[in-house]
Amino acid sequence: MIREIDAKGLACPKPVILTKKELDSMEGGSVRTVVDNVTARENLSKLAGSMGLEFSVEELGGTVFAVTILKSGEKEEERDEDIIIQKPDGGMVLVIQSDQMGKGDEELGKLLMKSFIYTVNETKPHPKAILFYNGGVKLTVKDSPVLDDLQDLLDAGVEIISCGTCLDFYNLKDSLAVGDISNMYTIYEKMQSGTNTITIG
Amino acid sequence: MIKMNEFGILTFQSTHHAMRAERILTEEGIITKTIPTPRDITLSCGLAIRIAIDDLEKVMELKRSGKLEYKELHHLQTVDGKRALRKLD
Repeated sequence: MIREIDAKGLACPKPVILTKKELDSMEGGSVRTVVDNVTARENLSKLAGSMGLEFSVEELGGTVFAVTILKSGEKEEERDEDIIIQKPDGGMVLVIQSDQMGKGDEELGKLLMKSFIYTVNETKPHPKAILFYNGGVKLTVKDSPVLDDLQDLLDAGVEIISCGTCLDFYNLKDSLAVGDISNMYTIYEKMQSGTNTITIG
Repeated sequence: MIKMNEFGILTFQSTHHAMRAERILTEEGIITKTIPTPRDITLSCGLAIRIAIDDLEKVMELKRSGKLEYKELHHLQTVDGKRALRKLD
């Protein structure tokens, strides 16, 4: 059974929400979602990845893509084991909600944040993911003072995730320099999946 | 393969001194990295500035000319994770 979703023209989290709903409602089969931008394509691939499902992408010309996610009944049980095996050391998730650490003086706050990110990079085990939202996304874009540390962390296997809505709000969507763009669903999923979620900002 | 890193580490009287020095060094075109002061240097003022080894001379010259203030300058070398610390100034 293939279900088709036409998600062209829909804003950021919508294609993912619609697709996830379809997948959740079915026992087995596949969902083919047509989207018209790269971010939506990436987010659908990530959705499939996070659900442990196979997927394929077709290019339909320009920036129009069809992402087909396959859900077969048995897959899901295997998936639980996979996740346990793949779980990296240290299940901590860091949430960074500002480009400053703590409230008070702005300059001091920025300095502390730089020093903090450096320390995270220097200290093992690394967290499994670092989420950036609101003013925090200023740290993952071009000219951020902590790009080198974040790139190191990414190379070491730490997920670096910036809130797409926030990048968009600050007009920084084209300036993202490290990690991936994602939405509220992913942010919440990551928070839930951490053995320990710590908020900094 | 041996992994080796070398840096200069500047320490300061206070956080304000560190912040001022960061501004001055940036104006002088020196690339800085603000880091927590390594615990083997001191446990007091928490912020230090890390600079490239090639900028050591320039930074010492800035201090001699009175443009820049810092408390100490250390040379930090890590070879395969082992640290060697030497006070330069």
